[in-house]
Amino acid sequence: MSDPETLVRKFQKELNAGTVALVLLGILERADSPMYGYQIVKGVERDGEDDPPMMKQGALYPVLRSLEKNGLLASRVEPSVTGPPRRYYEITGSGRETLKQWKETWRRTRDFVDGVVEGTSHE
Amino acid sequence: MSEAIRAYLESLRRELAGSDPATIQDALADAEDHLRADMERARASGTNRTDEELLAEATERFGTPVEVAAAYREIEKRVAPGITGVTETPGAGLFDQVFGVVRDPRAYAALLYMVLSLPLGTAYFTWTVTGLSLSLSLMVLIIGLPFFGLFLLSIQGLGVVEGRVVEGLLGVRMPKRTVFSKRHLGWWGQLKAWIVDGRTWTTVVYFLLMMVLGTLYFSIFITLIAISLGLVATPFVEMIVRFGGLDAQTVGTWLPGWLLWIAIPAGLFDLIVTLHLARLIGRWHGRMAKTMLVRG
Repeated sequence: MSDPETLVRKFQKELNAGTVALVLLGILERADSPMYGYQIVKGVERDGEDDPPMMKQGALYPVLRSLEKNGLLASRVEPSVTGPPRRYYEITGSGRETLKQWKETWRRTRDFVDGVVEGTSHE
Repeated sequence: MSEAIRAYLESLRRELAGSDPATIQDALADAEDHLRADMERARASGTNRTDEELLAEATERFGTPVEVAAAYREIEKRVAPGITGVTETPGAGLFDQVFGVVRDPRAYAALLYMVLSLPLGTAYFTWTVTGLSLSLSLMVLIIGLPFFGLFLLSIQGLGVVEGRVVEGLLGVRMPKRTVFSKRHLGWWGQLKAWIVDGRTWTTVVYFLLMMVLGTLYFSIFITLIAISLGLVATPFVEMIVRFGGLDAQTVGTWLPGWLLWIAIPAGLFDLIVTLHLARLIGRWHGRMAKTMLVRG
């Protein structure tokens, strides 16, 4: 039997696997200009700067890449003379469309889980 | 780059060993960018801690190489690896937009493709025309159809080869394998499937077109490169001739002195224009190749 702390971490990790993409898409939907990785990652930690982060920031970057490969985000690399080139991300039309559905799915899931776990009903 | 970040990236690279090269490159770029930004921010807020201490703190939030590598591998399992075409640089400063191309590997790769397109285009064209005309003329004989089948098979193979070249040099994601969608068809069914598959014929047209495009690309870019090298070299040649005791009259006419000062900048400018043009045409060609070689 694993100790509770390991179980908590494992549960958090499994939850993150599904929600991180939603969070990242949400951040980029509200952005009014393309953002680069570091900005986006900082956007995630904005709430609760002092709490231990829900997940390692390094784990957000591969999710950005995979969202791009699925066509939900578009990116371009901006070469710069002063530092390493930077990759800017921007939400695509199909990304917005997907996000709308994801939000709906998320809301239903949240209500359902709350309803069962807390015994509250939204009816 | 600071020694601490370099060490971190090296250990991340070790952790990712065996992954898709594109993934490794992505992961290293992401990590470098993030850690550098994080450390710069900490330093800007006025601290006298060492690089190692700053990195340790950044890593606390970013994740250790083991954790980060695990995250990339997890995603890689779900997504097909490959180079994703990246384009354009709007939003960048004018200086970066114009001169950034000099350090853009894609521009050089595209230039290489332009130069290679002549031999490649000639080979594709020769093969396709020979195969088509032989297939047609052998059609009256018993070996006509099998020969045609072999030719179409070779077209599939060549299509993948060109796809690899295009992905490698122009950065457009292309398939890694030929398509054998229905294995149970038998050779006759397979032949019919290829004949009715529009992609076979767009591939054939692409190979025929490559002769024309290859010649065009090659001529344009060899000319531009030659002009650029010529302009840069002119003042040096002139100096050697004038001060080396050679008689200018016997070698040819010469530029007036003031024009010599313009020659080198003009040559370098031409080089930058060439790189921009290569990247632009490369992008366009990559898109065309994808439309014609890959089933939609």
